[in-house]
Amino acid sequence: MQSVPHMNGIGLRQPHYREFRAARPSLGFVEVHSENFFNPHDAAAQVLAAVRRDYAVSLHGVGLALGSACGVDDAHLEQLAALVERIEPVRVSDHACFARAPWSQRGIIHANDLLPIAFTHGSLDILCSNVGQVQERLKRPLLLENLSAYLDFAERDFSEPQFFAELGRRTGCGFLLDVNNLMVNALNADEPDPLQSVCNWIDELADIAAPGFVGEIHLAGFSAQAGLIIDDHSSPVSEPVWQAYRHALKRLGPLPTLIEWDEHLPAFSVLLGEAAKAEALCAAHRVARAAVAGVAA
Amino acid sequence: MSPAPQFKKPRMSEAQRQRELIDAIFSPRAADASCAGTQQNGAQWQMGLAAYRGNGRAHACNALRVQFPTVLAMLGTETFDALCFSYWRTCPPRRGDLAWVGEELPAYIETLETLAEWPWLADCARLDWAVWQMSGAPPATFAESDLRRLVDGDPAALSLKLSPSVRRLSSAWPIVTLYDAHRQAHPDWEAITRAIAQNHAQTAWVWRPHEDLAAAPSVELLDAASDRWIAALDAGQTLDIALDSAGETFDFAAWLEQAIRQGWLDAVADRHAPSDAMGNA
Repeated sequence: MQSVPHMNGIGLRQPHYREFRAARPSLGFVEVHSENFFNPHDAAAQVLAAVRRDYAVSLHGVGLALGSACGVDDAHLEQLAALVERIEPVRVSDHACFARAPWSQRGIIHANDLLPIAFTHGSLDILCSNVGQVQERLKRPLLLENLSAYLDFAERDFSEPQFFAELGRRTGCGFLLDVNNLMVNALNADEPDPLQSVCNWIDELADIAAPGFVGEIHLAGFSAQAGLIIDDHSSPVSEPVWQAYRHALKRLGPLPTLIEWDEHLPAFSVLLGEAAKAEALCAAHRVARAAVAGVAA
Repeated sequence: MSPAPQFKKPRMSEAQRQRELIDAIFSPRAADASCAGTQQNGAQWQMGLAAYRGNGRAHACNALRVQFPTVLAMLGTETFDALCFSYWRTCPPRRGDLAWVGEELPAYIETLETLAEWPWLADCARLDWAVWQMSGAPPATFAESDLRRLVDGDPAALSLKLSPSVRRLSSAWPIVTLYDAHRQAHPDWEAITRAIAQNHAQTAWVWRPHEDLAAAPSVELLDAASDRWIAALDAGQTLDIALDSAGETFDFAAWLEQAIRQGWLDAVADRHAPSDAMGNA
């Protein structure tokens, strides 16, 4: 019997490099933060080149700041383009956020964070223009990820799923669904039933977005800090997020899924365990779908 | 009497909305929720703002700890993190790549009155930054043709171009001694205090072996003759003038053997060669 290839991956972080190379785990892909590998001359570049020989690599950026009204940084884009050329990644993604803006006498600064954008027509125009520029330079579609936001803007013309579905229609980009971010937002908004709120969000997107719009799912852990739930990727995926993930698989079908863990990194085996859990859920959905298709035929 | 006309508040442009949120995050004054047009106000607004400030500070601190290990060891974690936060608020990053976040830290340290009693700290930060930069510098491109040119050419027309993976850094303070001392698991504080009190100027030579990108850059103390020699090469002087500057004690053959082996040289330029002459004009 032929084994089904793995779909899911892990975020590869520097403290795990050695163990990763020794273990050579079965994974569908490995995801890295693009900016950490911009420099082709440092040690990290060698590590990534070696990883790429054995694995599909997904490049996940945190610095393009695609929602910035002042545009994207051309130098940053050129570095990303060079990295894409070197690595030939399976996917390239970044966030639907802004980070660049003029400040004081300093000119344009970069907040080095994922700051929220408004879900307005104006914001959509900016995002479409910037995403279009990046996709043209990279000669491939991007995936845009939804944010965990600690502030949001009163003015809005769209619900968040409507906003992203429209972005996909106008630019041809795909979507990276971060289920943990939805949960963080629901908890911070004091939703009476956060899990239901997240499932409703996923349902709305699944109902209106073009088929195949969602290209990847992110799962991670969060923590409570000073009155807010913070998306710090510092712990195992929470049970409500696993439940929301099951719902996403049901609505969207099995999708490449990443376990993100950036702070307080666990033993490598723990990270692989989380990925295996996501893999098992995906496999179960594949089997269920095949069975339903068989009955229908 | 007719009712007063109702004017809808004009919408904020996205550029204005983003400028105001950035200003609220980075400005030291108390920020007002209404300016950025967020849903949250009062304590909710302050918590959201604190989350973004906390994220930004954590990202900057994490990167700066890696980029400035000597400054971190000198100041201790608490003071270093406070320095990072004030630096991040005063000199917000210009790029979305944290590899560059420390670019202005040495100059920022010089502006701080609170650190004025540690006048060597800015130069120690410059040395840390040089080491960080060299760890990702392109390797040397020195080729056999360069060596042939060096053997056959006229010293009055030849100049040596240093590799981008080497850096010479002069200071009025004993920066190499301080750098080495803070690499130790148990620094010899008496030796450190003595070095500072003696106030010896030092020049550091930072380089990364060209055949091992994973190797950490080396930091060495340049002796006076080598310092004059490298300074002359840095200034683009021809070989004969650079050798004159270095003086009689400088062993060019030994230096050249090591330079080729370690990848300190990028090219040999010949002013008599048309393409090089243009490049050096």
